[in-house]
Amino acid sequence: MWLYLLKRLVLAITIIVIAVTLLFLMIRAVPGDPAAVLLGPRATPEMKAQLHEQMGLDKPFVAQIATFFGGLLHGDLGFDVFSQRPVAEIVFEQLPYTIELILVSILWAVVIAVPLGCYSAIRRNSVIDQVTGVLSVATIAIPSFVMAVYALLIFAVTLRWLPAVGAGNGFWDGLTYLILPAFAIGIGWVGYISRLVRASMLEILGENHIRMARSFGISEWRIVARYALPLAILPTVTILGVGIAWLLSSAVFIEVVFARPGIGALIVNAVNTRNYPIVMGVVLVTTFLIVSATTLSDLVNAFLDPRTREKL
Amino acid sequence: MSALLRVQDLRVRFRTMGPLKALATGTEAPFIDAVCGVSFEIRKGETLALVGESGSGKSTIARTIIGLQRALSGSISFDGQEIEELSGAERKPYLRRMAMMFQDPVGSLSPRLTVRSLLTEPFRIHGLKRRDAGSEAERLLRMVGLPADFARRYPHQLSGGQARRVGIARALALNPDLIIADEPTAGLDVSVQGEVLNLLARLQDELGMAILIITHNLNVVRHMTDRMAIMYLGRFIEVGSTERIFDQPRHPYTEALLAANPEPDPDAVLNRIELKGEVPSLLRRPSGCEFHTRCRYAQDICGRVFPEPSTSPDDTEHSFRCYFPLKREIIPGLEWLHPLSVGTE
Amino acid sequence: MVSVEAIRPEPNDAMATGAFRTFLRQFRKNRLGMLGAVLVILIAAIAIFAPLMITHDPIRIMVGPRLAAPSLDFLLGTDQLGRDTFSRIIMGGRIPLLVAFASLGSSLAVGLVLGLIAGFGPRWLDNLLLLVFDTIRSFPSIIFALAMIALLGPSLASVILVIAITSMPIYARVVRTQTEALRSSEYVAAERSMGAGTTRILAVHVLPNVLGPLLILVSMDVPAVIAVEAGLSFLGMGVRPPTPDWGAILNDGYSYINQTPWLVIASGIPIVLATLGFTFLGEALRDIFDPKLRKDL
Repeated sequence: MWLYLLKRLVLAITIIVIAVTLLFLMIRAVPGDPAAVLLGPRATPEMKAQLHEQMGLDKPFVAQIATFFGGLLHGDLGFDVFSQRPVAEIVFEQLPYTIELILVSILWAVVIAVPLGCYSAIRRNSVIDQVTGVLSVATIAIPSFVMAVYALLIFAVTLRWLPAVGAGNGFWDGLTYLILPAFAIGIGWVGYISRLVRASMLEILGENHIRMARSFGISEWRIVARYALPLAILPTVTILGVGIAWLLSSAVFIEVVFARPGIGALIVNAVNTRNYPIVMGVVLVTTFLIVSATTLSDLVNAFLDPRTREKL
Repeated sequence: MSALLRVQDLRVRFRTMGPLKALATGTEAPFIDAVCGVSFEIRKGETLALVGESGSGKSTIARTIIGLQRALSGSISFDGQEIEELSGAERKPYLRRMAMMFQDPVGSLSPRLTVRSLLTEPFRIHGLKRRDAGSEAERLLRMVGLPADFARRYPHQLSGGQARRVGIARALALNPDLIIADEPTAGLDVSVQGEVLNLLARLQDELGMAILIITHNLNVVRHMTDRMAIMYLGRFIEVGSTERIFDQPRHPYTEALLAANPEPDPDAVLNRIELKGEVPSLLRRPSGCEFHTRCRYAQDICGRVFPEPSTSPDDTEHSFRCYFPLKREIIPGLEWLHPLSVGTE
Repeated sequence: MVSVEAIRPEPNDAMATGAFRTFLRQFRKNRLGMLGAVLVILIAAIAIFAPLMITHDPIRIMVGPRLAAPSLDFLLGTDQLGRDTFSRIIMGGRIPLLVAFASLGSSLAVGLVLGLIAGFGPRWLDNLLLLVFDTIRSFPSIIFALAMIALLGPSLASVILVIAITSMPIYARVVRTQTEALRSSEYVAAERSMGAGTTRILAVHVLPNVLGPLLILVSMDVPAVIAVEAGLSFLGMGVRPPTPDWGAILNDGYSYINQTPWLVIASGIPIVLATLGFTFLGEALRDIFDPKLRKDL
């Protein structure tokens, strides 16, 4: 286990280093003066000169990469010349909104999916079981932004039950603003998670200690809720690692549709205004998030299932 | 007769782990020697058998001869030409003159090709002028006793015996001087085994190629071969003419192998010799004579120094590596007098 | 000398047609798969024959009033520039299909070659390529796409390139795994023992065996590509106006969601139908041909 942990961490760090190098090269691969490219067409000569100096463009290439990595280690993601603030500050200001959105989405998905999964496992081949079977493939295929626009149209524009755009003020107000966007993302995962819960639930319900409990006359629902469910939910934890990339991608669209703050909205805005330092900052932070999440889920997986340790 | 293939002091080594892991786990020798110092030759038109349990290195020798595996040291010469160091294009002309049949009759045929394509594959590989491919395939099929319409089939539509015949036909396509047959009867029904061996023997009579048979099936050896070599943990422990070894095995391991072989002779049942224990791991070779851990005649010296090859005084072709070879006075009717003469007949 | 064993009759001479019939029989039993096939054929047919089906020029502005409700003349109403929504929707399916075809086609080709190299080449190259694949996969796809578009400028070509790059690693990995398994197979050893070179072995003996699972995997990625294309166009980072495209129309509709729901409804439904159709079809194909192929590789 310790050897696996070590190997997995080394792999994660290697991937991050390569990713950062690739991104660095990508900026440089764009023809023309990097400073001019980074600043976009609206840059003034003073801004260019300032950035030139900051990036150390007169230094040799290897030194540039070294400075870049050095800066990253200190949490320095670059400098946004337009707002005259460090990129890291801007990105980390927006990140909590996105994480909040993702967490509530997961909550939505779990709240709907777990009961569905349990029900499907207990009443196998019932109508609900078959419907969730179809939904499991269907909901993840439907793009979240279409979901979002429809949800907006129905619940905010037509029915006016929930606020349409923005993030609200304060906790409770903010929560009402989160319901629709989070639903639009979370619904995609309902089918998938419910199938997963169903599968692991079926496996657990077949095990001996559960059959023993059943023979004591404990009701089926009580068995499921009290004994089987805690075990059945565990595997779903590991898919969240794989799912974080998907969630982040969906969040980009959702934040635009509901005009919410967050790193998705930030990067779309930055792309539109050609604000390259911000774009790169968001890519770096999200890549780091994804690598951490997949590494963590792999480790949880290895802890739960010793067979996966062999694979690395 | 001159030697068609001469193998001298061949050694083949496999890595068991990467150098980093070896360093991390403190393994001093992260490799195994699958073949260590084997020499033999095959004459034109001759049939030689390599016999031994699985893991004895017999298949590795075959793969090294054909070039699928690099040797650590030693030489392999084919028709007087050193071929071990050759690779790629330099080796190709020699691969035209030898052909290998692999163990799995169906699995050694490329699954998406028809039998016709499989049979004409050697011509395409060697860029030979393709006469009519259809008639060429038909000729080869007829040669191995399969109907011509088999040319349209795919490997998965063939039975084991049929696939083996296709394999033989493909091996013979370019009229090679040497065929290497790795377990030619593996996975076949007993009746089909006989048919395949008869076919090989007949074709050898007609075409005159030499055959190197790799097998642990002693019936195949007795049926097919002129000479045999018995392998144990990557070394030859006894070499000689097949008839001679079956008649007078000198190494205790050979004796045990022969005794374990089921025979149609009802009297042979009495002479079963049980081998003690498992084949030792190649990772931990026993010291001295590697067979001493399982040998019922083993003495102190056997565990210390590996014996050099010695030859029988009355047959210089028959050599073996043992300090206490089995002796047999050939006095008909009095075999039981000699304490070690536990023959098989 | 034809032995008894050798002429044992084998009934399946017409193997190819037989296999196809078995496939059809299995496929008909898969109701979702049939539904998917119908949807896909319908969408493809509409995209191909679109110029014959449109009632108005999809690009010309002010063919009718702005933001009109559906009528006999404008079946799905009009947009903010007075363009006919029905004609725009009909034409709008061409771009997603084109993008899916181009991006997945190039991704498949590159993934195939890199996967073969990784699976058949030396160990260090394999490890290096695996690391590159893992790295690309760890980029958040949409955010990475936005970054690429920021550098390359918004265009259809950028979208195709980005999708091709981000979907390639999965294909390459699958090909690599299969190739590595085949590399140690007996028939590859047999080919090599006959003197066949690496190129020949890869092209004739490995490629046909890895292509099947790969094509299924690619077919299962079509809905995701349609979604990404529509999404990027929705954000205004894909096709340039005034080209009709479902995602772009959805964006128009979103801007006027308070005035008219028609644009949003009309452009969202084809996106949903297309992604569902390709998903059901892809799942059915996988279930029939290769049940072991996992979708979250």
